[in-house]
Amino acid sequence: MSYLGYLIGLLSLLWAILPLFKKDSTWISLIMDMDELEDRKTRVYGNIADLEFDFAMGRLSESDFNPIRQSFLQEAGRVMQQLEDQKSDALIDQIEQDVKDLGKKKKSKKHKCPECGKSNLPDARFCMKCGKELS
Amino acid sequence: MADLGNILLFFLFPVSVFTALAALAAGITKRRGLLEAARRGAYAAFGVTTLAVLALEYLLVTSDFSIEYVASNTNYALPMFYKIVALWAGHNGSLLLWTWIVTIFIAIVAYQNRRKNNDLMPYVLLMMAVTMVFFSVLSIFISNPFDTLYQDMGNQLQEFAVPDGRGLNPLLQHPAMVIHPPVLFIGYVGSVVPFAFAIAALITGKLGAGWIHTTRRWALTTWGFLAAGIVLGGKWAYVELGWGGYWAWDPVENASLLPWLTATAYLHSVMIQERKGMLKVWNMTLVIATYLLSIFGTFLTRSGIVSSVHAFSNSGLGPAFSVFLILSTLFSIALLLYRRKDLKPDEELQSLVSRESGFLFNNLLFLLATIAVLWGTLFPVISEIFTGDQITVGPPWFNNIMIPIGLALLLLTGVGPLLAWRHTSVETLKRSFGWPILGSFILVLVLIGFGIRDGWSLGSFAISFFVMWTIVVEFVKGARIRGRNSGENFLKAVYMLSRKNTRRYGGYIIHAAMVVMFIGFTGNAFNSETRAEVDEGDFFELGPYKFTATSIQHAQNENYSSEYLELEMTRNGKFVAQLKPEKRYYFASEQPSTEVDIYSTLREDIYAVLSGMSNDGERVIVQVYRNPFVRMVWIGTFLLVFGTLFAMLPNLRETKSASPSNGGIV
Repeated sequence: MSYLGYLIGLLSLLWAILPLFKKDSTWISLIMDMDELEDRKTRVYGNIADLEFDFAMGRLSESDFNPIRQSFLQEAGRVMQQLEDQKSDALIDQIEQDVKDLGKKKKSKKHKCPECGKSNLPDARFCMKCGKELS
Repeated sequence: MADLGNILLFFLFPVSVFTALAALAAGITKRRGLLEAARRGAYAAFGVTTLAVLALEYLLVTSDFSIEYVASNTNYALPMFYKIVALWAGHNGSLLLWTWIVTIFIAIVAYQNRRKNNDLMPYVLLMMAVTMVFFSVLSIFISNPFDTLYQDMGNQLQEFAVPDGRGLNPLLQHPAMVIHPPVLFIGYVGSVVPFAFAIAALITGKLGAGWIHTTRRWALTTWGFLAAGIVLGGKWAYVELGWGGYWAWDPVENASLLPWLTATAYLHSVMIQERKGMLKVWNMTLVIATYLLSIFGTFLTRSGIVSSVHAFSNSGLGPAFSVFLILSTLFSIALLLYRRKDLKPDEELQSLVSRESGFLFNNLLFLLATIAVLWGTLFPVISEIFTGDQITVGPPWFNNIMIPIGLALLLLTGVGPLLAWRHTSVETLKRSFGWPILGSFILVLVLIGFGIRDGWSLGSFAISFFVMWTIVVEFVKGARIRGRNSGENFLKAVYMLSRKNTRRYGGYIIHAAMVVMFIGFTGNAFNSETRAEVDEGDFFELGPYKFTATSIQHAQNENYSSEYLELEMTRNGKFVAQLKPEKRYYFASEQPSTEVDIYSTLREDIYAVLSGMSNDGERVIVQVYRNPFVRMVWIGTFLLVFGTLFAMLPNLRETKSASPSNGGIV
C-alpha cells in the first residue's frame, strides 16, 4: 500500500515539473494605460446608468440631473477619445510591424529569375516572364 | 491504508513548496512553462490531498481503531452517516478538511484563469500556495490525522488497536453540526482568493479594477457561506446546547463574526471604488483584514488561548499560527505602504448627503463593530497580561455596544439606497423619507399601546418597518416605471427589473433578510422562562400556556440510553402540542446529552429542556423557555442565501428594445 502512495505522489510531482522541460516562451504584459482607460470607461458608463436610474426613481431633481449628466457625457467623450488615440497608436505600431514582416518575407521567400530578373511566386517552378526553369 | 494516506498527505508539502517556487519564478521571468508548472502543482496538490481525505474516510468507515483519530471520534455502534462526517468532528480531521478546501480553491482558481490574468496569476498562485504550505505543515507534522496509537512496552513503543472507539461527541450528533463546519470553513478559506488577487495586484502594480472584477463572485460566495455557517452554528447551539439561546458572544462565535464584518464592509465600499475610484487603500485593507481574521479565527479555535465551547485547547498550534499571522500582517502592510502612492483616489467626496457618504458611514460602523468584537474577545488575554487574571467580558458588554451599532447599520440599510450618488437635495429627501418615517412613528405608538416599553425594541421594530417599507417601494416604483415603458404586467416587470441588475436587487433582498433577522434578534428582549420539578400528572404555567407532565419514560438502543418526559401543552384548555424533552447517556463516550424539544411557530418558540432528576430522585426537573420570533432568524437566513445566489446571477440583457426615452435603464 505504501508503495502506491509513493508512486502516486512522485508521479504527480513529476507531472507538475514536466512543463519546465518543454520549449518555452514568455508572455507580454498588457499596456497599463489601456487597462486604466478601460476601467475609466466602465466607470463612467456605470455612473451614467446609475444617474438615470436615480433620476427615474425620483431621487434627483431635474435641476441636479441635467448638469451632472452633461459632465458625465463629456468625461465619457474624453475617455473614448483617449482610448481611440491609444488604439490607433497601437494600430500604427502593428501596421509598421506587419510591413516590416512583409518586407522580410518578400526578401527571403520571393524567387528571382536568374535569367531576366523577374520576381516570381515562392513556389513557382518556371519564370512567368521568360519561362526559364527555376531551381 | 493509513500508510497510504499518510504518504499522500506528506506529498502535499513538496508539491506546495514546488508550486510556490514555480509561481514566484513565473512572476519574475514571465515564462509560460513556469506558470504552467505552478498551475499543475495546484492540481497535483488537490489530487494528493483528495486521495488522503478518501484514505481517512476509508479508515473511519471501516472503524480502524489502531488510528488515534478514528478511535477518539467514532465507535462501532455509530451510524454510518456520522462515521463519514467524523472527518471534521475532531481537531486533526477538521484541520485536514481546512487544508483540503484550500487545495480545492487553488485548483479552481488555477483552472478558471488558465487563459487569462497571466500577469496576476503567478502571484495569486504564490499567495495561495504559501497558505497551502503553512496548512500542510500543520496537517503533516503537528496534527496528523493518520497518527497511530502506541503503547509503552518496556523500552519500546508498539502500535496497538483499541477494541472499540470512544465515539463521536454526542453534542456533535446533530444535522446542523454536520454541515456547520464545512460551510463555515468554505467561508473562511474563501477569503484567501480575494486576498491573493489583492496582493498580486499590489505586487505587480496592476491596481485597476481587474482584480476586483475577477474576485467579485468569490467575495460574494464566501461572504454568503460565512453568514450561513455562522447561523448554522447558532442553530446548532440553540438545539443542542440546551440553554435556550443561539448566540452568547462566545470567543469562537466572535471569531467567525469578525471576518464576516470586514467582508460585509468590503462588499459595500468596493462599490465606491467602482463608481468613483475612491477608497482604494481601504478596500485593499479590508480584503487583507478579512483573510487575516479568517486565519485568526482558526487560530483562536485551535490554540485554546481563550476558553470556549469549542474546546480544542492546547493543540500545540499556537506558536505556528502566531508566526504565520504576524508575518502575513507585516508583509501586507509593507506592500500597502510601498504602493500607497499608486492608490490615490481619482475623485474627492462632493457632498455629505450622498450615496458615497452613506457607504462611508456604513464602513465606519462596520469598523467600529469589528474593533469592539475583537477587543471583547481578546480582553481575557489582554487582562491576563496586565493583571494576571483572565477577565471575561460577558454578553451584556457585547450587547451594550453591538445593539446600537447594529441598529444604526440597519437604519443605513434603509437610508443609503435612497440617497443619490454625488448629491441629494433636501427636497428629494423629504419625498423619499416622509411616508416611511410617518409609518414607523405610527407603528411605535401602536406598539406602546400594546404595552411595549423597552426603548431598544421599539427602536428596532420602527427601523425594521422603515427599512422594509423603503425596500418594497424600491421594487414597486421601479417595476411601475418599467411597466409603463415596456407594457409588461407588474409581476413580469418586477422580475425583469431585478434580473437586469441582479447585484442591486440581490442586495435589496439581502437587506430585507437582515430586517427579518433583526426582528428575530429583537425577540430576545421578550424572552421568558420557568423551571419546575414535576412528577407524572403535575402541571405548571408559562404565560398563557399550561404544561402537564403526562409520563416519564425510559428507552435504550445500542448507542445510548435515554430518559424522556412527555409534556402536554395547552392554551385556554385547548391542546396545542406534545413536547418530549429528553436526556441521553451515550455509552461509548460516557457522556450525557440534552435533547431539547421545541414547538416553533412564526410568533414564538416554546423550548423545553429536561435538566435532570430532583435531589430526592422522585421527580424530574424541566425548564421551559418562551422565545418570541426566533424563527425569523432562520427564515431571514434562507432569504439571505437566496439574495446572495440571486446577486450572483448574470444580468439579463434586454431582448425586446425598450423605448428609447428610458434608455433601457429601469
